[in-house]
Amino acid sequence: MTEKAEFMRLPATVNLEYKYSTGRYLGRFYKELRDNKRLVANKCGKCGRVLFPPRIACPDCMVRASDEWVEVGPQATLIFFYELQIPGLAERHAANYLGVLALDGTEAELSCFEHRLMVDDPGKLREGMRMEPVFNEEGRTGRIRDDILGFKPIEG
Amino acid sequence: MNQRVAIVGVAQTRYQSSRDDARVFELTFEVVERLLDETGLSIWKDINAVVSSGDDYVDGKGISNDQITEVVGAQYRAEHKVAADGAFAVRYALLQVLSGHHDAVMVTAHCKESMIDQNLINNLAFDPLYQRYLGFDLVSAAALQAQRYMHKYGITPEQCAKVVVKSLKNAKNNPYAQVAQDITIEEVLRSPLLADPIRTLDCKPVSDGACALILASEQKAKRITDKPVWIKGIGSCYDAFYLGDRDLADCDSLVVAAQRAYKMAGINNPRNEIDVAEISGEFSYQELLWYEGLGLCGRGEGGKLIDQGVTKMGGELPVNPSGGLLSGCPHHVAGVARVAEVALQMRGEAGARQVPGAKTGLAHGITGPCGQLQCVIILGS
Repeated sequence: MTEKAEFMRLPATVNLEYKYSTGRYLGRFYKELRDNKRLVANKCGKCGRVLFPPRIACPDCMVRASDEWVEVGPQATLIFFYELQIPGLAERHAANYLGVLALDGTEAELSCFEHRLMVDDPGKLREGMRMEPVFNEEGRTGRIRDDILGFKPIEG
Repeated sequence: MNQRVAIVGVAQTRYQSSRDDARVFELTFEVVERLLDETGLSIWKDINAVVSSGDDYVDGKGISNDQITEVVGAQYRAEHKVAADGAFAVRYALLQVLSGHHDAVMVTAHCKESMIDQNLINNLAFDPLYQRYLGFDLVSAAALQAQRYMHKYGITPEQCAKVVVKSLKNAKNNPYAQVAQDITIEEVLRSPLLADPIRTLDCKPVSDGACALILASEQKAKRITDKPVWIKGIGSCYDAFYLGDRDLADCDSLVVAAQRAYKMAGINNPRNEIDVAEISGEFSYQELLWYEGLGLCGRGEGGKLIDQGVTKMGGELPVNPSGGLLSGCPHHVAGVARVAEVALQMRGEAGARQVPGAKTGLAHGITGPCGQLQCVIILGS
């Protein structure tokens, strides 16, 4: 046996081009965001839970969502936040601070979502503070992070 | 089996070339909703566990089953994924019921093949340091198998084309089928060549859809329905991984899987004792080869069997009254749908595709290139 074993590393790249269709529920959500800068949710036909993001059925009741749609947010309460320092990941999120937010009109325990925080002074970030989205004013495409650039504190 | 387990309900979507109106887990909800409606069962009170069949690469998402939990009532409960054909999900669910821990288990399978180039995805199923670079996918591997099989036994392209003609004709009776039409052997043989001898019409089409069914213990099954469909036998078997390690003309793993299932079901002469079969031929030649592996005829006699009309509707043993995979059914869903179709036959609820008086049926699923992994399930009314 030789000292240098006969193994090699053979790097490879796998390119996969998917066609993700939104379906009718997330389709309506992204269309409202793109065309009207509105955040919408649908509701469970049984328990009335606001389903955000919108979806076909309520996971608590296993009942198909009703036809009722509601506007939620765009203002939100910051539930908690964190600093992102993992190499690569901060670049991918294009953010150094990420927040978990509860949009007005949704139940904080059920429907929080994560988005990047746009702040001049991270030292001023506080749990429970009120925030609002910064919409992309040009060329919205129907994507959650392109059409909303981030959330910023509501001034005053 | 030391206890009896029954299928007590089935539901399928219609299979379509593209379902842009629904995300993949939404297809699952469609069938689960219908299944619960039709059986009158409560997802919370009656169903103890869920087994799903799907694939991360195809779904375009790691841990592809975690979004399924929302639509199968598995939030805060249990769900397990089988990343192989749905027939193996049925097998896993059967074992869960036989374990005595659950008395009703739901099986779901979903797939939207339209989401990504299937040749590319199937290329990824091969050894990344060896066969993948040789350009294999399911079609090119199937071409190898077809060449070998047809050469060894003198099977003709016309005999393979007859499988397509039969499948698409049968599909006219199946409201869930994607492709249903009267075509001729000549039209099949004139369709564009993909990998010699495989032509476009020899392949199953790209398909989107979902299927679900419920398995229950004997005691529970009798409370749910007066037409339980009993699982009489099941067998599965792997063939060698490397294509070069197998004689592709002889599907030895299917022979073993079938013998295991027949032994459990007490079947000595499958051709005489089975009334209807739904088998997973992704390519036309495979149906002929699987006839042989299932022991419906001798080795090399698959072509003769279709020539004699034994497997057509009205024949001695109709195979794929639904139209089978060639009429459209996605991977993963295929095996569950075969079981569902046979269950409908056993209940006498197969509509225009019903085989009159069918009492014993066979469902078959495959995973991997050239039918590497085989599963045979015998059902009875």
